[in-house]
Formats: sequence, C-alpha cells, structure tokens
Amino acid sequence: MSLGQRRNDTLDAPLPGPPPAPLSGPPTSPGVPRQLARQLRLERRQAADPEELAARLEESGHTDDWLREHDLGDVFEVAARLYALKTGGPRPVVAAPIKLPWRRLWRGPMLVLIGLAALSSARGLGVPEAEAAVCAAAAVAWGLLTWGPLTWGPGAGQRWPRLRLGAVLGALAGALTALGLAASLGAASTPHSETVELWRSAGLGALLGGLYGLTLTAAGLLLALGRWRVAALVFGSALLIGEGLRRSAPDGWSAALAVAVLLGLVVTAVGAAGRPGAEPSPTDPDGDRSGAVWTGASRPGDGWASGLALAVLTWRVGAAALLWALLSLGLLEALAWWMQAHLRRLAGQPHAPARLLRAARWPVLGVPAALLVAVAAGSAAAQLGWTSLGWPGSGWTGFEWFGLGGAAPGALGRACGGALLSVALLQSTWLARHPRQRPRLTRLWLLCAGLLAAPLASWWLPLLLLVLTLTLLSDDALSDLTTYR
Amino acid sequence: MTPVLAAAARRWVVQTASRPYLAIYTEALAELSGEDSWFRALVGGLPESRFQIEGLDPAAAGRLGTAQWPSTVSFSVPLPLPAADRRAAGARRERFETALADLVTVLAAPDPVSEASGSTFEAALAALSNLGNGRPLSPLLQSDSAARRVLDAWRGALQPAADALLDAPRPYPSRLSEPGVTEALALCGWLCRALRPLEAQPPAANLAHAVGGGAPGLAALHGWWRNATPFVLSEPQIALREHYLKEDRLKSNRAETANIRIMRLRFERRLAHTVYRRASALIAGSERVRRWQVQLGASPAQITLRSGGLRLSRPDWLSQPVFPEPTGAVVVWCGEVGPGANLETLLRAFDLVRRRRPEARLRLCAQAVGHADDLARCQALIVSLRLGSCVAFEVLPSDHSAADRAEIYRSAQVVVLSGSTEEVPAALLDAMTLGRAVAAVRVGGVPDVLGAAGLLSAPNDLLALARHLLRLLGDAALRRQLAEVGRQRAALFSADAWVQLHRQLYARVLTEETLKNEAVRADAGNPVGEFSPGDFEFGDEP
Repeated sequence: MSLGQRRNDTLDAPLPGPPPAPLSGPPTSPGVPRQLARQLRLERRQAADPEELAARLEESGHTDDWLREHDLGDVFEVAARLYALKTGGPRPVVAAPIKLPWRRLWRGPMLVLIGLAALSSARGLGVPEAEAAVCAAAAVAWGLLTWGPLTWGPGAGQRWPRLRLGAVLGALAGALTALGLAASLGAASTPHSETVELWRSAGLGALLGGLYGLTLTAAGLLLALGRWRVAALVFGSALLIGEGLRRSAPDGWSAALAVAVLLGLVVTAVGAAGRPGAEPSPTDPDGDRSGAVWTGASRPGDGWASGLALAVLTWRVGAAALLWALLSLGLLEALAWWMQAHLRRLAGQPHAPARLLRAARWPVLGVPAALLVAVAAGSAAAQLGWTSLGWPGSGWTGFEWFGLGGAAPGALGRACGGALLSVALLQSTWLARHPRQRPRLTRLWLLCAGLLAAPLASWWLPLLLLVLTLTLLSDDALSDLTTYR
Repeated sequence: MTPVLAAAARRWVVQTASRPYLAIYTEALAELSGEDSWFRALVGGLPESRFQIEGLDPAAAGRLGTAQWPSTVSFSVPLPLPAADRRAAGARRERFETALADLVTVLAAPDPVSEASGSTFEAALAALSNLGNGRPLSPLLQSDSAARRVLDAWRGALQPAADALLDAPRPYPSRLSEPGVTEALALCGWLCRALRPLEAQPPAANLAHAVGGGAPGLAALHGWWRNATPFVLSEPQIALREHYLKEDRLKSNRAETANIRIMRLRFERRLAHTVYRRASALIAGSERVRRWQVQLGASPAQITLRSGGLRLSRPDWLSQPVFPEPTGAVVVWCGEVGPGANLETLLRAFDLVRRRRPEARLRLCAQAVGHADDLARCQALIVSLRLGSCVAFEVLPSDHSAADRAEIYRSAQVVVLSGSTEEVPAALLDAMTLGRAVAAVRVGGVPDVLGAAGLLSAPNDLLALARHLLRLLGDAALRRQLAEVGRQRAALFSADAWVQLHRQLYARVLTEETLKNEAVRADAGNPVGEFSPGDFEFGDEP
C-alpha cells in the first residue's frame, strides 16, 4: 500500500458532500470567482503574495477538488487570479494620541521619600559612618538605577543578581567613605589606635554601606517594576517610625531601635523587590519598563557621572540643588518620553530623512527651550510674589537657591541656574535613550563635575556650557536614523 | 592556528573520514530527545554515521540533555558573537549594504513571485552569508546607514521606472505603501533575527539535514554556500503556510505595520523558494506539503513523499497484542486544546450522538492548552449543551508518559480527531498503532496516514462526524476491521522504514553530489578529486 494513496482508499462511508464553504450557487457558476473575491476582500488587500491567499482558501475549505468542480483550476491558480485583482490599496494607519505619562511625575517625590527614609534611619544610629554610608550607597544605587540591563525588564531571574551587586558595591563604597571620614577626623591619639580605629570605621562603613546599598537598589527595583504603592508604604513607614523613635525613644534604647528599624527596612524592601509578580508592559507609558531615569545603557557610567556632577553642585550651592534635581526627575522623564514618542510618530510617516530631521527639531530642541523659559519665568514670578507678600520662610536657603529670596545676592543667577540644571537633565535623559550618545554623556558630565569643582566665577557657567553642548549633541543625534527607534 | 587554517584542517579531516558526518539543523531541540522521536530512531538506525546537532535557538540549548546520547551525537548551539562591531571596515560595510539594498528591492518589487528577482535574492543572501560566517551582522543592520539604504531601496522599488511606464501594466497591484523611517528600522530589526543563522560558522559536514524550511533551511543554505555541503530538507508541514495562517489566527503582533508584515512574509517565501531550489532532496510530510513545495519552486523529482511527517509509530506498541475494547461506548479525543482542534464541532457532533446513544461517553484529554480562553470556551460549551454527564474533560500533566496516553486510547472504542493545526496529529498514529478505530476530519496529512483505516469527514461538518461516530459505535465488526487495517498501516510508519528511507536518501544525495563535484572539478581542469563516491557509502565502517 502506497503512502501516497489518499482519499480514494477510504472506506465507502457516506462522504459528507462538498466542504462547508459559505458559497452558494450551482457548480460552474460564473458568480463563484466573484463571490470568492468578495469573501476574501480584506485578505486580498493585505496578502503578501498569491500563496497567502492560497493558504486562506485552503483554510476556509476550498480544496483543489472543490475548485476544480467549479472549473476554477487548483487552489494556487485561483489564488493567483485573486491576487491580481485590483484592491483598495493599503489602509491609512490612524496614529494613537500621545499621552503624557502622568504617573511618572510621582517618581521624583518617591526618590526624595526613599532618600529621607534612609537618612532618617542613619541618623538614628548615631554614628558618623552611617550617614556617609547612605551617601555612598545612594551613589551606587543611582548608577544602578540608570543602568539599562537593570531597568529594562528586571525579570525575576535578574533581580537577585542586581541586589547582590548593589550590596557588594555599597559595601565597598561605604568602606571607602568611612575610611576617608575617619582619616579626615583623625581623632586617635596613637598610631596603633589610629589603625584600629580606621579598620573599625572601614568595617562599620562596609556593613552599613552594604545594607543601604541593598535597600536603595531594592527601592530602584520597586520603581522600575512600577510598584509605587509598595515603595511608598515601605519607605514612608520607615521614615515615620524612624523619626518617631528618634524623638521619643528612651536614651538607652534609641540605637538598638534604630538598628531594628534599619534591619526591618532592609528586609521589607528586599522582600518586596524580590517578590514575583506582574511586570509592567513595555508599551505602557506609565509602567514602561524603563521605570527609572534612563534606559538602554549597557554601562552605568553616565549615571554615576551625572551623580558626581550633582554631588559637586550640592557641595557648591547646597542640598537644595540635589532636592530640585530629584523632585523634578519624574517630570523630566515624562517629557523625555513624550519627546521620543513624538519622534517615533514623525518617523512613522513616510517622510524623507531630510524632512524628518527638520520636523524632529521642534520637539527635541523646543521642549527643552520651553522648559528653560518656564522654570526661569516661574522662579522669577515666585520670587516677586514671595518678596512682595513677605511670606514666612522666604529666608530659607532652598528658596534662595531657586531665586525666591529676593534679598539674596545672585538670586536671578540661581533662578537661571535651576532652569539650566532642569534642561541639562532633560536633554541628558532623552539622549541617554540612544546607546551611541552614552559615552559622550559620561564624558560631558565628568567635565561638568570638574568645572563645577574648580573655583570659577559662577557655578551656573558650567551648566550653561553643558546645556549648549547637549543641544549640539541632540541635533547630531537627530541626524542618526536609529535615534527614531 | 588561524581560523582559515583551522577550517581547512577541519574540512580535510571530514573529507578524508569514511564515516559520514551529518549536520542536523533544527529549531525544535527539545523534540529530538523524546523517547519516540524521529532523531532517536535515526541515530539508532545509522550507527555508522556521526551527527552534529546545530541548534538554532540558543535559549533551547539547556533543554537537551547531552549525556543520554551515544558518542556519535554531538551538539552545538550558537555562541553569542561580539556585538560591538560598529566600526566595521568600509569595504565590508559597503558590500553588506549593497546586498541588503538588493534584498529589500526584491522584497518590495511589485511582482513578488517573478523568477528573475529570485536569483537576485539568492545572490544577496549568499553575499550576506559570506559577510557573516563567524562575524556578527546585527551591528551592521542596526546602523544608521543600513536604515538609510533600506529606506532608499524600498522607495526606489515602489517608484515605477521610466521604461516600465512604457511597458504593459504591472501584473499585480502594489500592496506596499511608501515606508517611513520607523518601518525601515523595524525591517532591519527583524532581519537581525532572521539572518542570525548566517552569523555562525557552518560545520564542515559531508551532508546536512534541515528540519523545516525557515531558519534551519537558511542555515543549511549557509553551509551549502560556505562549504558546499549538500543538504536534505524534511518538512513535516510548510512553515510558510503556517506563518500565513498564524497571522490570521492570533492577530499576534498588532504593533507591526502592514508593510512590515508583507516584507517579512515575502522574505520567508523567497527563502523557501531558494531553499527548495538548492536542496538536494526534499522529504514532504504529506501530499499537501508536496504540492506547496512544487508551487514554491521545488522540482517534483527531488521530492520524496513520506506521509506522517516526523511521526513514527511506537515499536513497543506495535509488538504488543491489541487490548480488548471496553464494553462501554466510549469515544476519546486526545490532543492540544486550541482553535485548530475544532472541539466545538466535536462537542456539537457528540450532542447528536448521545441523543441516539444516551449511554455514549466522550473523554476529552488535553495534552496541552494553547490558551486559557480556548479551554474556558470549551467548558462553557459543555455546560450550555448540557453534556456534563456524558463528557469528561481532563488536562494531562505536562510530564505524562507514553504509557499514560496508551491507557487513554485503550479506554476507547473509537478515537476521534476533529481537527489539528499540525499536518499529522500525534494521536492519529498512536490510535492506529494501538488498534483503535478512528473517525477523523480530512485535514492536512490525515487522509494520507489514515488511508482505509478510518472514516473521514470534511472539517466543520458535524453531521458527518456524528454519523461516523454513530456508525462506528454501533458496528463492532467494522471497528475490528478498521483496527486491523490501522495496525497494518501503522507498521508503514515504523522506525525501521524511517531509517531505511533516510539511509537510501542520504546515500543517493552523497553519491550524486560527489559525482557532481567531481564533474565540476574536472571541468575546471582539476581532475584530482578529494571525494570519491565510495567514501560516503552508508554502512561502511572504517
């Protein structure tokens, strides 16, 4: 018996007749091809080639036998004839409106909350190494937060390695910071006791740096996974409990309770970050897998470089610079996302590259310019309102830094500086989406950090230079088609 | 040792060895290791051959235990290549972009099936094979200049040339619209994945066997271009046809534009055409597969029809006597729950059956569930038809054994197959081997395999299916007769027949190709051949 035999060797069971094609009319009806064409009108419009129509004909029950009964030839002949018919042409694609991812605006306040919770628990410990360890771990976590492999799809299998990396790097950074701190204090009386003191500080710094590195990396993961409520609950509770204990705990118990708060914070944060659960969809603008400041990087270099520049700026002008940067981060991310979404929409239209470049300059150069004007104008308006109303608290250095302290010298410069910092962060956030630009960003932020550390006449001059260079880089990035991906 | 010297040494070792060295290209690594897999039968039946498995999916590498295989089998999975080759040499980049532009021009051409452009496609693919071959193509594809070349070529292909305006109108209306930059980038991104087989260095085997015409076919073509390794292509089902229909069934990639979809499917069609033309022999898994292969450019003389695809009947089941039938009127369905299974037709047909035979029972055994919705829909239908008392639904554990399946089939008087996305469902051969009467629908390669061993009805024809079930349940003599015929037919799909088919095919291909190579060398004035037909006779141990 040949394997090639078919159908005619089936038992003489009553065959069910013609296939269930939804066609009517007698065999050889001239209307059958027309009916087929009408029935497959959508498929004909989008068919890649005649064979696709043949596959669909077969799938709908139009076998060779049936078609031959209607004198139409085999399925491939019918498909070729159907494919050659006139079609309505490709349908125009209606682009979905671009929405600003509003939920990301909360990311800035969340970062501040996380930082405050860590600082509060460190203060409760009552040792100088603790606050230094928080700063070191924050720098480590900042770098990891901006690291592409971490922020792009931190799947269940990748989270624990990242947490371990955060802990190890935090421990190293904590030890080094504690050593630097101990060496600068130099309180020991003898060389021997000084060595012992250094080792003790380094050990304590490593331990605390590891714990805070773990906690802050877990916080970054929670943000990347879009688990906002969990992050707010864990770090908000830690802040409240830590502050409450610091103010009301009995003298002998304060350190022990602070240790308990710290351990509780580590366990809950790491547990929440490592818990399996739904991950944000890559297409959801609010829960975009980026989940953090910058995406797509293979190395966290530019994240740490920008962190260094912010640290130097903080040292130069006060903590309000860092606070401003952190608070505005969510807005800047949302704006960068919007810029890229707009570029993608432009690139989806059949423009030639030269025309696309011209059209793309509006969002990429226009949004930072609008932000510059808005922040500067907002600061100036607030400054006027503050000084004319004489509201309490106007003397706080934070307000002064934003240009709100009218009496302070250089208030306008500070307002401009705040606006420049916002624009630089926005441009950097957008440029960091493009892998080719990241090494340049790292070098630029390092250069900026160096200039900020140098005793120049004004601290906002390096920021101005940075913004101008980033503008040139943005324009250069637009001429690369891969930017529109 | 430099890579060139190493490759030459490897080739010399292979060519001077008298034991045939076979490279198997497959995407379904996990399927090879099954206890009744076709590959296990081949390895057991051809102990004189060495097999090198080239897994094309790096993610699947861990699913194949290597310890359980004889020493004649070795495995290779693609290693990640260094990605940072952005500053490729100018000449290489230029050659790459020219080939890419040719490729895109062919795909975007208004006539997607013209023969003339087929050779351009093949030349472009061969050039890309030359540029890959151990070096990454992805960095070149993901560059700005590649996107620009793709865009220009695509747009150029859509513009009617000046001389074409004077000629006859185009045979086909264009389905493609003017592309945007996003589409050029998306096409480059898709090509990164599609051309990945060209990035590897193909093994210097005597013969290659590609299982499927997509990525395995491309890998085999790569070996043919680089090492002149002839290849056999076996297709249990037409991958291209599956891709056409999958688009419709799943509506999967909604983000993909119509332009990209068309370009992607045209690439796959062109690739299938090229693979069929270059394959030394083709094994069609069914008559339908054979027809498609011929339509897509294969020579009918090259094709060997092996109904059943890669399915083999289990020798242990064949050697056992047929278990007696159960006394109750039990119908069993076993397979994957999904749109292709057409369980709705089966349930509606069984609803008619139980009106005539209230004692009849239907046992549905889901080996896998494609989508939770399909399962829910099926269960809802059972409830709405009030079949709860006579239909039992069970989901088999993922690690169920062949003995479990045998137990299920033996509990039936009749095994029913209401549809399948596979060319030949596994349940068909299993039921035939175990001596159970089969009522099936006429889809794919089912009629080829079933022959006279069962009753066939048209897909979706629930009246015919119900009639066949009633007839089989009511006629014990007919069931016995069908079971006997089924056992006899199942023997045709035994591992021995499978091995014999491949032994003959491999020997023929090796001999023909060797003689062809000899002739080419003689024409080129190089009569000193490195091969002789006797070198590659199967079964000759050194």
